[in-house]
Amino acid sequence: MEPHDFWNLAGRAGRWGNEFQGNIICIDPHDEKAWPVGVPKRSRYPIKRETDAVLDSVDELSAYLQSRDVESLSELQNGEDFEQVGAYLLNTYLRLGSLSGAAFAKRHSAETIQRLDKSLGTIADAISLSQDVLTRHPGVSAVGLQRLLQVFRNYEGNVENLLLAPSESVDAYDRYVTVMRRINENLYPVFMPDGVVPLHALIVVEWLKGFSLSTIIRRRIEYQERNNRPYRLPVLIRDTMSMVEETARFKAPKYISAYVDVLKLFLIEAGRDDLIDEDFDIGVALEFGVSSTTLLSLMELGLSRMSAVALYEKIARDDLDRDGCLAWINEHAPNFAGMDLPSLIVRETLEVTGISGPGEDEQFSE
Amino acid sequence: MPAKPVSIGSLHFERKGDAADFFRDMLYKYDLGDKVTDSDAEILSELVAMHPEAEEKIGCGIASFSVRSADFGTRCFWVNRTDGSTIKFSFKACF
Repeated sequence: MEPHDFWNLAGRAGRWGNEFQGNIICIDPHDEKAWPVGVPKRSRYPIKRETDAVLDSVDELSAYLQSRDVESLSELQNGEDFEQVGAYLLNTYLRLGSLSGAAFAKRHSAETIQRLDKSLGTIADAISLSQDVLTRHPGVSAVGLQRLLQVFRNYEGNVENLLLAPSESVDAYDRYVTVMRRINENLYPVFMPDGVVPLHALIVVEWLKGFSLSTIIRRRIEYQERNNRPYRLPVLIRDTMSMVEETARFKAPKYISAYVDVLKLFLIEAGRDDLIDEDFDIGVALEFGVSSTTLLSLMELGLSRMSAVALYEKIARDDLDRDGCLAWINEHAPNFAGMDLPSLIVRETLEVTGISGPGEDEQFSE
Repeated sequence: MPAKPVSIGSLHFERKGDAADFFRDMLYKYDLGDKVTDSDAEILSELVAMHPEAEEKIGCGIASFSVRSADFGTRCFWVNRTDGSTIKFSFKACF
């Protein structure tokens, strides 16, 4: 662990709003295997803006921007830093007409800004997307978004097949596989390597269904065992947790919501706005790991995802808003004891909603 | 051995291989997770009725057909039944 990671972690001791201090316990600090360079010393680490760091390499950045529209995106060199900053700069250029008006411009030479303006100007001429879509996705390249729009325009099949399938649909997993591949080919190679796209899609669908982390891990273990595939449990657990965090909660909301917004543009253009579901925000659904209005409303009330999912299974309706959920809890709270809900979840529900349930002496199932 | 012709509804193929090529092309013109078009669904309904386990595959009735993944990285046609259940079938097993 790098010193700044160690002290970042240590700085989280305590609990926001509950405990003002906490202890860090360093196990075996003299074990050279565990701590090859000793317990990291505390020191200051300057943080440099990513934009400034990348702008220092203006030659490479210009080359990257000029080659951004390559036919196969897997040929893109220099990776994510240039992509993120390139997307941000292009977005700024499209909004302001020049980088010279941006706040960061004064930290760089006029020559650098002029040079980037020139590269971006050529690219910007080919962008016809609405400002609204660009503003909503500042970290996604407008070149990629434009290319995706063109793919939708050229699509010869039934446009309904371009939509995301609801997580409970039999088509959901495969549809996400296809959408992720479409993103890889047109926006940016995000869900890589290609052979792992099915696993990315599976984790995203399970996360959207409201499965707990332990259930997702257990199902992966069952899959490995069913197919006689060897696995190392700690690796499998770490990989799964990392995929939930990096794919389901970060990359998928970022890129799939961009996909959906470009698709909406296309559907309006094609006169098929009847297919747009304005009530469902895939970015929010992925962020929270829920896919129904009821689940989201329960979390809006302040319930944890675990409690929301447990209650949702009892509610059995997917269209309740906050008031609907409160009314349901109010009506059913006196019967929670007979619903086979863990007492922890019952307690949390009653505390968060402020609704009184069964007497405190009553026992719930654990 | 002379080639064996195959008839599926109004479609007629001189050889089994021609029928297999026709359905393979149909299968691969879709992306994974796609629902097939109404006209292809009509042909697939005729096809699945010829499956040796047609009764089990059709079950309570056909709502639609999808193209989805199958074992070992392959893909195949799936029957989506009217009760929400779904089952895959191999087009090669039908003729």
